[in-house]
Amino acid sequence: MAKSSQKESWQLGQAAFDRLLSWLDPDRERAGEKYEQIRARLIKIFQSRGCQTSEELADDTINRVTRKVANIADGYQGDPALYFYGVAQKVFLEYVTRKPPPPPPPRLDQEEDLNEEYECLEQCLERLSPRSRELILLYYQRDKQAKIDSRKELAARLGIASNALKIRALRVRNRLRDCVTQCLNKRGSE
Amino acid sequence: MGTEETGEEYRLIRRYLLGELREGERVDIERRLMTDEECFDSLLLAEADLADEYTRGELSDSDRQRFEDYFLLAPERRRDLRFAKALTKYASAASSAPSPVRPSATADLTRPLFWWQSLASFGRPRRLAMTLALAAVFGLLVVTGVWLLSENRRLSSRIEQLQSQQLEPDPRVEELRQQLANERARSGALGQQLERERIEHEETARELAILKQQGSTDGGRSGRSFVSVVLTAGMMRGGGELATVTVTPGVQRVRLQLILERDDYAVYRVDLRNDQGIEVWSNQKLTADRTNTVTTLVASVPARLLARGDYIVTVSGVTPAGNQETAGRYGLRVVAR
Repeated sequence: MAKSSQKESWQLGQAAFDRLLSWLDPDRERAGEKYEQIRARLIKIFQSRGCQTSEELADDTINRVTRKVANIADGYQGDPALYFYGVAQKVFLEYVTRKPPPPPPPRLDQEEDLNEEYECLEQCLERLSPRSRELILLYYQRDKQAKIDSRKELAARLGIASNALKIRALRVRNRLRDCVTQCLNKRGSE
Repeated sequence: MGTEETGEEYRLIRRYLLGELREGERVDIERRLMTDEECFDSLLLAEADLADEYTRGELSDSDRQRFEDYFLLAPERRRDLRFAKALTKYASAASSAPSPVRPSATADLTRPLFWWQSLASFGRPRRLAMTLALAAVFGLLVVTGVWLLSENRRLSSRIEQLQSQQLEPDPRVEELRQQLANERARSGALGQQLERERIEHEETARELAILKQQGSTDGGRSGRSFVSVVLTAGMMRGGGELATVTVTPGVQRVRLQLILERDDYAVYRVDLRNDQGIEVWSNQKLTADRTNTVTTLVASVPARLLARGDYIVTVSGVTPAGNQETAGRYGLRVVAR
């Protein structure tokens, strides 16, 4: 394969990707954020449809849109995210026709071994600020009615609305979960 | 979080997550998820709540069944459920046990009432600057405290002396009483202020350390979100130039553009292994991008998975029978800045 044709191919791929970002937003940084938002949403939608390879399906969707973007960007009306969604539906249909439905997941034993999760959780809690750590532990420490009451009390103590507390706790929880996932992956590869 | 606390959209999203919506409703929700940030936040919230409620046995029988049979189909959610279980048990243990299950992590749950309790826990390594700053604050407090104590004693003694000299209240005595009360109030306020400042200072130092350590894992705000690198088959260590990609803080994804020597398959698998042969990432369903002259595969790898070092990217073609045949190997060097 001639080097010039390889270079040409790379430039074409890069050009299409740049075109995609321009379509999402004229500002490169904002375009990057929108790209990540669209990708995260596609992954959640594929997960919610029970797919086993959601990230791959999301990337496949994005690659298909990237290939078509030169033809559609100029004439397209509306939010580009909805175009991605349309392509994602096609990708999903191909997925279900290709793959048989997966077997139901195993029942989760109440006594399953979570030692590794505990150890990673402990490390990751240490990396949170004291304020975030206190928030997340207080938020998740009670059951049933006591949980509802304690969360109301916590929101009042912080001087924020109940919904704001939920979002704040969710953000901390997601950071913590990502940290634990990385920690477990690292252990798995050691 | 109970469903009684939340709105109609949240309830609809819970039903969506449990696979209870009709096709039309599902498409409506998914279109909103793609374009409406609040709707997407509600989905993240509902996912966390469902896992939390399942863990605590708070779901109804029918919801529990739907959760196990439908919600948990995605492997990411099964992993998230393990995390939810660990977090719930950990948090519950921290609240109920006088000595929590993992004391080192929960020691900061309740802030110390007195500064010397923090001083006593200074066994862990901390930043020198912070330690020196705190030591200076403590020193100031000690000196101020000693001075206030001696001043209080002097004033108390003077009042007693005056009281013993005459029964009638003297304006000078009242003045001294007021002065003493002011000094006591100042002493208390100073102590509280120092304690607040100590806590704020410690938190700020810690946040800074975390940000430095994580290298802005939020990413995408301070630099480029993507970096691309083109890879040609066979460029391995010792066999010529090794393609290099620089991952700076803020980069979220690395796009690998793999030039295929032959294009014999409809679907390809790409896996990325570090120099110890450990797989760090893979994608089992990539389709090639074809032009008249060359064919490329584009793989988008999360930058957080790529530590500094050398990697081997293997491309395998997937046959119609589902077997994999190696179609090319590529070398990659990741450097971080």
